[in-house]
Amino acid sequence: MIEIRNLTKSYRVQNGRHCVFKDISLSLPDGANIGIIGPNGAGKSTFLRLLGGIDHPDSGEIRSSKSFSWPLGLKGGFINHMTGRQNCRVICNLYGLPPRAIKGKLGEIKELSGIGDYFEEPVKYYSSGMGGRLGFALSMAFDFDYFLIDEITSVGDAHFKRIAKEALESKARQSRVIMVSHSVSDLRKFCDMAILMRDGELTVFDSLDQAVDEYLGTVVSEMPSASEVSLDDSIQELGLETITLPTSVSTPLAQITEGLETLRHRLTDTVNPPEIDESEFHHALGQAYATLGDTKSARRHFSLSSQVDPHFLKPLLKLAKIAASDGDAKSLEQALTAAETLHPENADVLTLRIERLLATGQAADALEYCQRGLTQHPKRHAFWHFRARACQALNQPGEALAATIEALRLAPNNQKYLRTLGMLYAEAGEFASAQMAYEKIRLLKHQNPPKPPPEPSLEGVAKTINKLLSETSRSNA
Amino acid sequence: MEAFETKIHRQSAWQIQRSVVFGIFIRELENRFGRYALGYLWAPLEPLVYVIVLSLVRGRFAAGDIGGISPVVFFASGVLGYIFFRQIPITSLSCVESNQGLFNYQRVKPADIFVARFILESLIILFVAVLLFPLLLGVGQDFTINDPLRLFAVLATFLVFVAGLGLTCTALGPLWIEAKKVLPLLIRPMFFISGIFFPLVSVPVALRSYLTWNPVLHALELTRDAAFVGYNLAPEVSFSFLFWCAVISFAFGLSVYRLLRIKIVTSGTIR
Repeated sequence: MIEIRNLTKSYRVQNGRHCVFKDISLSLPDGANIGIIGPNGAGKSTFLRLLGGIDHPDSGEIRSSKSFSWPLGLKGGFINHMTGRQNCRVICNLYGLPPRAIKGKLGEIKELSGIGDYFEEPVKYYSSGMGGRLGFALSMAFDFDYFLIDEITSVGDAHFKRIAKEALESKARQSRVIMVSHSVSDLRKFCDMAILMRDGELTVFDSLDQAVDEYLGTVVSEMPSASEVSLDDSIQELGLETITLPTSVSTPLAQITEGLETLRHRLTDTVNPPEIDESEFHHALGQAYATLGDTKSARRHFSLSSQVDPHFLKPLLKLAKIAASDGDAKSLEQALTAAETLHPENADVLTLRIERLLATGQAADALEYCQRGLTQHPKRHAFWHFRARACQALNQPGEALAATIEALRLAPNNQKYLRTLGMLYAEAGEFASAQMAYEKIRLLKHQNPPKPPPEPSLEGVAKTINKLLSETSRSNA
Repeated sequence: MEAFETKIHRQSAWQIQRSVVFGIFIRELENRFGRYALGYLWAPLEPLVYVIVLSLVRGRFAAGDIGGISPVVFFASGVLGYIFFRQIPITSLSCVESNQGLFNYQRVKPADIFVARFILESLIILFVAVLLFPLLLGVGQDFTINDPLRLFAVLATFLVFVAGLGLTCTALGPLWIEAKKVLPLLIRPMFFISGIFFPLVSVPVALRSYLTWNPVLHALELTRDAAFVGYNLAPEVSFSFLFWCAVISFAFGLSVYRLLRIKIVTSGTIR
């Protein structure tokens, strides 16, 4: 029995305090595996930390005669400069394993974690997944009554997941799990009952499915109810979408091209070189060409721009984007690698990298990058959608669904996400839900009819050119 | 050896405490010496250098004993006492910071790390003393042990006094970053006023009252008196002063730690 009485927990934030739980009381029965679901920031991890006794409530108490593991999360709880083996030895000592038993245990831990020779390397060189796996393998050396699992199953590959499940099952006689996961399919594998955590409220459900229904229901209920339109009709309607190409070249365009030519001549004028920020200039020029559809010239100016100022991220991103749409893998890789050295955590850089990985079928790596993207930019729904695509490619429909739902929570009217949602539901055989998703897309299309494909914004380009022209002429005069 | 209790909730508080302190002790030991080529040999080096330099300087200006005992023995006892007094608070400041990863485990508390470090530092000093004094006997620096029981009592009191300072530093270290800069500034002058290279009897009586507020001076003087036959103890030195300083310091350390024990682990943690 776990008794929680009048629990209040808040954190100091920049302006005042953020209250996670306010006066929560509930009790959890013995012998159940408990899943915790809820949106990001609802306090799931905090709850596990409180249970694990490594964080303290502001007031109230948690009572239980059971032992809890430390929260098994992505961050392993290791000392960074020590190797995996040294860390594990220290923690075996902490938990009173006699020294003569430790050597054998360390072998088992290495085996179970599946990190191989990294076991002998300092923990600081581990990827986030490896730390989590090692922490999990280590915890299996002890008989806790409850294992507190915080998202580690989401990073492991299928192989590790299977091993983890076996390890937990071998302990099923004396141990239970309390786990947090975005992956409904993982929760389904392990848990009997669930806590739904939302807006500071904790609701206990006797079955996981009830909780999941309740949680997903809030997303689905925002969609219009299914009408008499059949699923096939909706899909057909969506399939008809085509991309129309920009319309033909018009007169202002010709003027702009002429202006560009003039600019080029002035720039190559070695007698009176214009005084300008070359890097910015080439970037602007490249953008003008890109808008006009002249990717060749655009590429040349973008690469000039980044040659002049190698620390300028924008032209590299542009180069990568152009290369991606041209299908030029080599240039894309070059530009992307350069951008990554500059700003490895930049959202656009990560986006391009994930797109590339997904395009080349490296879904597992893409998933790692999504995780990084989400830790750095938790509000970017695109990363959730990428995650969904990666999970789908890895044949994990449950996780893909959960990720899509998370993306839709952040961007409820995104048709692309809704389409993925519908497709995932349809694949899972849940046609009613799929239909609802497609229905919502139809409704959205009806409310905001698709805009005609944008013409190259000639005014913008003309403005850029004029500005550049005036700048160069001023410095020449 | 008793069987390992794999059922974590059946381990007794004493078992837990012992395993934790042992585990951290081993980690601290590796951390302190594991990275250096000559490992444990570095520990006696610093006191040896101090003692040699002090003895050489003294040898140039004067001969004969200091306060009734051989100068080298005098310096050795003073230097070891000073190093212990200096090490504990300074190493305690970083107890929490350098073991941040370990607070992921419920049973590890900052006090455990302090206790492990305290034991380690004490053992290092003890190890150096056990190495150094027979060596001095061997090279003809004679001394005779005076009163082992009293020596034990004085050292125990000094240990408690320093432990109080250490606990205070354990609690303040993570909350007050500047402590790392300030503390060495406070401790360094103690080298010159704690009777490390002079006995209190050699100080003019009029000046002694300025020095006797310093408990470290009392501790070193009392230690020498209890350890070595023939030491000239100044009448101003008082065991009860050291004793009350120890009581106050320890009580203060415990209270500060108790008040801040949750804050020091959770400070800086987000979610």
